[in-house]
Amino acid sequence: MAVCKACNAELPKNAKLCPQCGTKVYQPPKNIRILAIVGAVIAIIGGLLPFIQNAEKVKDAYSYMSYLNNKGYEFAYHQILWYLFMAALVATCIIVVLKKEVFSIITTVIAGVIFALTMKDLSTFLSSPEYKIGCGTYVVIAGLIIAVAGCFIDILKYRKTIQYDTRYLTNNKSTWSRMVNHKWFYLMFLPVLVFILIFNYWPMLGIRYAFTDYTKLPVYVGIKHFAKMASKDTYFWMAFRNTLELSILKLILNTFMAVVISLLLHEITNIHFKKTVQTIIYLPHFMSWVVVASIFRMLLTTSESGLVNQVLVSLNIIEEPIFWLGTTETWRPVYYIVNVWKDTGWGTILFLATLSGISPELYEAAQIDGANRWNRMCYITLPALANTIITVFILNLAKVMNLFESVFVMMNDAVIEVSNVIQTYIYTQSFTGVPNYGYTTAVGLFKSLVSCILVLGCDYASKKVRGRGIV
Amino acid sequence: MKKLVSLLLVLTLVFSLTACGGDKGTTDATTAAGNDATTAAETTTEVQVEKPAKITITCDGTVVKEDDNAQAFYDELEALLGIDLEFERPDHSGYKDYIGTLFGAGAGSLPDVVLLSADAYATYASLGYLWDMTDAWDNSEVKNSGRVSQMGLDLFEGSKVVGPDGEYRLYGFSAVQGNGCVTYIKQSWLDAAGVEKLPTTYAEYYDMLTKMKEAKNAEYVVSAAGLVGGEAPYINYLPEFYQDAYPEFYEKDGVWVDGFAEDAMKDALQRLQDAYTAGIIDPEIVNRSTSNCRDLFYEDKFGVFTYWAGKWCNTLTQNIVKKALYEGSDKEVLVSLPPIAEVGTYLNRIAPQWCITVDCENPEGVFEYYLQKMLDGRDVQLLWEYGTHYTYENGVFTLTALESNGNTASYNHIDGLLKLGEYASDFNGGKDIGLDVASPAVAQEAQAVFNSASRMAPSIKKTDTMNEYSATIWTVRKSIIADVAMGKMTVEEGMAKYESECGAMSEEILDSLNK
Repeated sequence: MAVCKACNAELPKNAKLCPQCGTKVYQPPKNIRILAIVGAVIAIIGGLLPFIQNAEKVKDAYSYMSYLNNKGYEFAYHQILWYLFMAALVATCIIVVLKKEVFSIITTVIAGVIFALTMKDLSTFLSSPEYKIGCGTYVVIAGLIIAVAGCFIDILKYRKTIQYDTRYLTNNKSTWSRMVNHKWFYLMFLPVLVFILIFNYWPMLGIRYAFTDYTKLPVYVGIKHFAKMASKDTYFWMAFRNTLELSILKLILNTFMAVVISLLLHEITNIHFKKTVQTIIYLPHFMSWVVVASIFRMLLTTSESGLVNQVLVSLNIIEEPIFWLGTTETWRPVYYIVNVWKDTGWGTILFLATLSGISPELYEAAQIDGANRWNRMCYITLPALANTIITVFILNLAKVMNLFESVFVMMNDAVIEVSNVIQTYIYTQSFTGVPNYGYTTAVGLFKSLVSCILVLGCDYASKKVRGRGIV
Repeated sequence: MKKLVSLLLVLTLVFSLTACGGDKGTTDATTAAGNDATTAAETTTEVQVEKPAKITITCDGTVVKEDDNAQAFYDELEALLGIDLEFERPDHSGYKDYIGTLFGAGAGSLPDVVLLSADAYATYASLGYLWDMTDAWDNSEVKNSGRVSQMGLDLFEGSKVVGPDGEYRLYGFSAVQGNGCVTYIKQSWLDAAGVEKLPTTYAEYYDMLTKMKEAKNAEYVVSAAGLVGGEAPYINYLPEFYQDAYPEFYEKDGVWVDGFAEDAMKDALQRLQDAYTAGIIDPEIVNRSTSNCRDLFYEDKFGVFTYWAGKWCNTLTQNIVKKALYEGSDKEVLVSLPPIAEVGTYLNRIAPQWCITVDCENPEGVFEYYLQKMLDGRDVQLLWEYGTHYTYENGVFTLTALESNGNTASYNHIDGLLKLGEYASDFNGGKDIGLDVASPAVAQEAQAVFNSASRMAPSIKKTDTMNEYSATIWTVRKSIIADVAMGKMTVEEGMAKYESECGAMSEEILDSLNK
């Protein structure tokens, strides 16, 4: 927490004037290295977009890496240049984050030079009247300009903001010498770093296939798949809508039920009974979805062996057995119930841990003040749980687009319209007929972007509500 | 200590990365050398084709399973062929996905030989992943041996699909006919319904089903793994209801048409809806898998089941008796229903095809010394038919092994009832020594019913446009079939939905097919 230099009073976040003495608060210039990163990211996106495109046909488009190869010219080096170009831009982002602004200019300029090298080949292509410069070219140029500008501004800012002599700082060693000092820690970190780079970041290069038709060999088609998604494919939007509806309602229900059950468990004083109940409600989590689906199919079948239908019929609640998993009106409620049954127990762990951390003194004090059980829950327990609830909610929100197994094992042809989600849609597109990995990658990319937006949105909301985010 | 830990971690990384990049080809030379002696002895064949030293093969569970001592079969086959064989055996249930991933990675990592379903066969042939074996087949010893029946030759002809050049060519080899489904009726249900004469028309068939439902007080009479199949020929599990409808693009009088949009399909949908509403068809049919249906059939939940011809008739009967889940099951008999008049003939699907990929360095050699040997009419064919799980002494053939599922292993890959080539006259007198043991009379009769009235399923042609839309179109079709059959929409509404959601795609596909 910042304090006023004049009166030593605590200052609120982002305050321009001290609320106590009115003194103007010194605010260090904001770090604007974000500009360089934004520029580099724009250029990276531009590198994926069409560089050359046919004015008439969306499909007839060529990327930075393929526009000459596809036309039969022998410029195989374009693909290598594309990788170098992208690597230089990624390096720019990393270097900017490391505050090595001078080097970031070098990498950005390298990216620009590589870009220029391929631009000179454009003329051979543009001689044909039906082709025009694609949006990717403009985006890359804009991105590079922003990135270079950002890097320069960073340098200026960097120089301007230094108001102390680094020689008098205790920690004035260079990064390199600090790394040498801690070389063994870096060596320990190396395996993790390499694994992450290979298994988490290297596969991300596959994003480029979203801009290709990939049935046999990837052929660049620009934004064709995104255009198809947006216009032709009604089942994609249906799947997208279903994903959000199913996931978010499932998330709300599961979280709510987990909180309720945690509160109930917290009230149990008999430790043996509590442990037994906990074990019982945790068990379904360890069952595979295939087994769970089989169990519920048996319970919900319309035949004489279907327990649920038989009970409901014998109680005169329904007249005829209902095909719960084959009717659009009942499929979703059953899906939610199955999810709650399977995952609620597991979801209580974090809440129970939080509840056990609440000081008993608070409850004792509240009791002395005359608070009944309801009041104690409203004014002590729930506020104490709030942070955990929001954290769990946000963490789970990142996964809402990943709905697959639970739906896949329970869906059938009769309920496609309410059950088909993005992942099952990708699966069907991948394994019916000839898989076009280009299209499914495009759908996957879209899914990831939505996940990202959801997480960032929730984080923003969390910052607004609680004053801090968790991402 | 931390130095030691650091070094250990780094070493772990190095070793794990080395393990990832292990070269499985390092032992090839040794194994190949070991086989040189056998190879040399056989290079004196008349055809001047180099014999491959090693062949990599990917196939599903239709070849003797790993759990059932497949290694003995591999060893025997290697010894007979004199070729080092490397089998890749993905899980049978995930084979389709595995093949999709395998070919998705593109040429360069494909095995020499791969077993493909009819759909995948047509698909990857059109994409140029498979070697054109038309000439090799035409000049092959097997084709010209006289041991392949006319039906077999016709099936090879019918297995030709469109290649990347747009021409119908042969890209796969199968030693068996694809087989199809026959409708089996439980004798006990026929007796209960008082039906003495098997139905010959749809009206009689439906009447029989109604009587059965009443007599047995059954919840339903017919069940199947879904209302429509997941791959060609799609309609084979409910032929009496589909009759002449075919819900896929097919060639009619030289022109490709969309079978789903035809009047025959409307009639089929109406029949499905009527039967479903009347409680003839299993109300949960959309949730059923084939194993589900078999189990319910064993439990006597329903009495009419369209399933694979031949050996499956025997297996179903045996399991009903063995499981004894209902009264009188020990005397149960399955009656094979000849196709009713409206069905005309059952559909013989294109068999799964053994294909040589473009990554194979010596495709002629693989065809000559591996594929066509499956029908050599001698030891190799016998091995493919019965594996190593039998004895033959003093003219007595005995099956000797149990499969992991508890059943007797009656054949390996070639079902004797479906084989396309007979044995050579100088090999056991040209007789299939185990046919009567491996295929009891029940199976032979069911197969005879199928063979006497079956035709090849419509041929398959794939184009880029079709590949692009096929997943979406099939999603819509399945949804419409389910909705109409279950009474959620009328036939007209279903067709209107198809037209509005798939009409444009269908037009594009037809244009590409009729080019």
